[in-house]
Amino acid sequence: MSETAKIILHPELEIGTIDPRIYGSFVEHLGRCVYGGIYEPGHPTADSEGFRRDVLELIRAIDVPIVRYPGGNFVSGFNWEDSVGPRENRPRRLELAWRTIETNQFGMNEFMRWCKKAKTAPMFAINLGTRGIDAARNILEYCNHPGGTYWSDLRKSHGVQEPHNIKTWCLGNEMDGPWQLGHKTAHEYGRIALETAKVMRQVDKDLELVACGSSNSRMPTFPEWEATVLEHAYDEIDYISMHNYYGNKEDRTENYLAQSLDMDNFIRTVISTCDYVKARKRSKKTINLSFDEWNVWFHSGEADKKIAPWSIAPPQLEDVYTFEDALVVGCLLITLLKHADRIKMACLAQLVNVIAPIMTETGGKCWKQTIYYPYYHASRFGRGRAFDLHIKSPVYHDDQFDAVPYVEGIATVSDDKQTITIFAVNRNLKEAINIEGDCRDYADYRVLEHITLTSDDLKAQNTAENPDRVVPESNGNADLSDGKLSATLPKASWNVIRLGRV
Amino acid sequence: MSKTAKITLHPELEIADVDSRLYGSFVEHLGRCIYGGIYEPGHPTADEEGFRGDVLDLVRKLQVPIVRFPGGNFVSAYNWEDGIGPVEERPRRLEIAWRAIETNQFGLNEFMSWCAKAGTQPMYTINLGTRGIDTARNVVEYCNHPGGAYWSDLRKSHGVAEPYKIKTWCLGNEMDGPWQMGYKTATEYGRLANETAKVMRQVDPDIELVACGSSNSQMPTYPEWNATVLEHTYEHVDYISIHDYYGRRIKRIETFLAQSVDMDRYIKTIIATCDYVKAKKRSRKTINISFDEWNVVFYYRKSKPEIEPWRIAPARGEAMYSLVDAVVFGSLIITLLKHADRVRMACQALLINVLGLIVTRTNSVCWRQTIYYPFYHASVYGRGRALSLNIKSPTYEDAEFDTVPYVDGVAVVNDENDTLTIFAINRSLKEDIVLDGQAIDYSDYSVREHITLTSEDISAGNTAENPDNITPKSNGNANLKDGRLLATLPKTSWNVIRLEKKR
Repeated sequence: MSETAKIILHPELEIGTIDPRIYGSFVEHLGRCVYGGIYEPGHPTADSEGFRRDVLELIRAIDVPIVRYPGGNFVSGFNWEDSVGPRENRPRRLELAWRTIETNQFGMNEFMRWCKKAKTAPMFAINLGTRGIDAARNILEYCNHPGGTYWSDLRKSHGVQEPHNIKTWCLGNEMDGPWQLGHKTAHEYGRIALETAKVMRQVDKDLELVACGSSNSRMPTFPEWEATVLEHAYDEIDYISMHNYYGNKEDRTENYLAQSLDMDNFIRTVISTCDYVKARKRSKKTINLSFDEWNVWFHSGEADKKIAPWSIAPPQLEDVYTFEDALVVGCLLITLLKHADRIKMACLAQLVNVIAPIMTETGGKCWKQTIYYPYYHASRFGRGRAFDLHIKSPVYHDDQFDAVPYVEGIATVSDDKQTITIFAVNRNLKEAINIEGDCRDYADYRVLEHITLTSDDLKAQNTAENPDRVVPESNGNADLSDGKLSATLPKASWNVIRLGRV
Repeated sequence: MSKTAKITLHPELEIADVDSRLYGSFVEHLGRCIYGGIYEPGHPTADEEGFRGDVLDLVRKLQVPIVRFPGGNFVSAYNWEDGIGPVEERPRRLEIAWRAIETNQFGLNEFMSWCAKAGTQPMYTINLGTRGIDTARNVVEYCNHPGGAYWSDLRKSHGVAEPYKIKTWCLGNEMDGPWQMGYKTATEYGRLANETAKVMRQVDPDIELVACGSSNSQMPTYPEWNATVLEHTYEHVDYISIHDYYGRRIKRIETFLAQSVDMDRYIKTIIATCDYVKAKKRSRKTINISFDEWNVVFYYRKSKPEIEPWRIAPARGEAMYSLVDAVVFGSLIITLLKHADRVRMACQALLINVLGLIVTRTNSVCWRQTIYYPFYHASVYGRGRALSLNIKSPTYEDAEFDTVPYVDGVAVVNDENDTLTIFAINRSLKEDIVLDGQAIDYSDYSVREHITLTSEDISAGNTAENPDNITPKSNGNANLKDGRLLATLPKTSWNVIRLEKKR
């Protein structure tokens, strides 16, 4: 007999309003994310500007609210001026972060035009590695100032009359990492972030600024880095960024599926750190979190070692995701939603080819990786307000996390309260688990659909040859009657239970 | 039409099991807390050890689980050896924290004997001001070691054969305060506290240790003091102590009534600080909070009386608590309960006379201050699991705290005797507010009693002459029917709504 997990859907268990930007993504000048990914003139589906329409279609289906650009590590050696103006005049550069050649055929203005077509908004990262305040003020003037000055008029001369009015800016990328071009100590970075923020706000008062937090929760300087950076920059910034990638190198799937508990602990710690500094600064302002790089990343490590340096758009970081990776991405999405009160932005890294939900063949087709589906479901159905389910789940033992609940889940209620969506993962690899839900306050709702994502093989992949090996099916048995929800979560499954008001 | 505050009673809104030590108190060698308070040989009700029986009666009613001793600021210049052995040989000392004369007629062994009679446990504070590791190891040996060594045999020679096995020890008192005898920087204190903790545990590994956090949330070193101290001591202490007294220098009564908002922020910040250091230390251990000095300060007290130095047990911190003080006091208890998951111990300060729940006249009567009652209700009815009420209350604007809810409250469920008690205050000076509760999960409960503590004159209190001027009345109109709780919270009131399962 299967085990049972109990949940409760109750209006007083609200966590917070979900900022749609929690479903953001990331496009970096890295591998084939831009070139051969979103941009490939000459591809059969390319539009007049060279944007692949097949890729655009898959992105629009997700409804991605914000996309971080142009890096990543890339940005810390990037001169943005290389990427504007007539293409034929743009320089080829040594790209030092990933050791490739950057042709600069896709740049600032191309990205903004692509954003419009993808129906998304930009989050622009500036270079605080090899450069600093001066380049930051220039790009901001180029992007956001109406005109009548050198940089804004330069934009106009490039055919862009109206300012881009980019609202959200990242003050550098992973500046705590020794691998970063122009890596800094927390004090060095805190100071430059503060002074850069002040100068940027002089150009445009209407900005949101994100300071770099730790690159991952295992950094030796975590979480003191956050505390020190915030001590310097608290009053001038709005968000602290977090990054983390998870993997299953040792092929211990139970432990791997529990990695979202590490993300949960990471988030809690950064919240504590922000609030500790808030009290130190006697501030009434609360710093929120931008989890602007997160995903599974571990498959492509060996392949990347074989790539020769100084090539153009080589196939770097092309993780081919398995079914179990999709379960982990599902757990990570649920974890982000559990902290919807403090996480206002998050970026699945990255969008195309490079550790991405969407894969392409240069000159060929594109398809959805396994991880596409939980991301798609969460973005499409997980809008509104997040509710804790107070899950009482059977648990399993893990050396790293002690007791791990088999069932992970969260509910979202749409703003008009007409639909409710429960996202749930069953981490049990051998057995289905039954859900018993107390939904007395939602007795006038019915199950619209119970989507499941399962597979007979944890390592199953979607590939160019077999792109639909792992796909969701609307085949679950969820039922809601008399205020009681029942549903079977198949073993090792991602579930989307959609309820609608009668 | 009355204003309404909505609440939800739901078993899933659980905060935590309440540690009963949340209802602790504090006895310091200060003013008339001990001499003329709990200890007064020759008083008509005094027992053979000189403990006042009338005071013991009132203390026992409170069911106080733990009492901190012997200070406070007092402890930072105290030589505990002065307080043991034959009474006639004990020295008179200059008590330099409060500038009084300490006769040492009451000491460690008297306190332990009193604890047994009061039905409570000790929380013992060591001197890390003028003294340090060596006296700490000695007092632990004297108290907790069975015998066969110098200090434990000394205890036996004082007529105490069995060790006390005192479990909970405070590593000094308010060491962040420049007023403290032997005040230290955070780094100095963190180092000393850590080494003292290690040595004390060498004597007795079973003890629990409390490190000094901030003396109040307005300290210039707050909250960095707590972070620095924990960086040094994290693995060797169990609790961080915080203190605060609410209502000092508050002019507007609306701000006074909102003081628990400040306490709430304070506790949240200390939790954030502990968890920040936890991550920094890569530790799996969680540090909890001992809020081991808290109280309200008399809103209506005009001025502090001048106290002549070097007197024995001069009256200090003695005035009449008013009804409005009791309402704020109740809101502070509610706030502690709302953080029952992390605040595991708390000590109302002090038990007798000095900001006391109980006031005495030397050689005469004793009586209950207004603040006695919320403490009594919480201690007696507030054992079990704390539940959040997810209150949606009408609010008022305050210059210091912005938006303040008129109604605050919390519930405690006791699964053993199937009772559920709601503690709630109404901060409004002008209007009654209706509490409208969704309680479908408790529809098999009924209201046993709705106690209110209120007064038309919010400045009124209890005096020797009129000791029962302000007392709780079982006169509230709470009613639970078909899963809906309705109750009127009178203006400026403390309320206890006791539900129990229908039989």
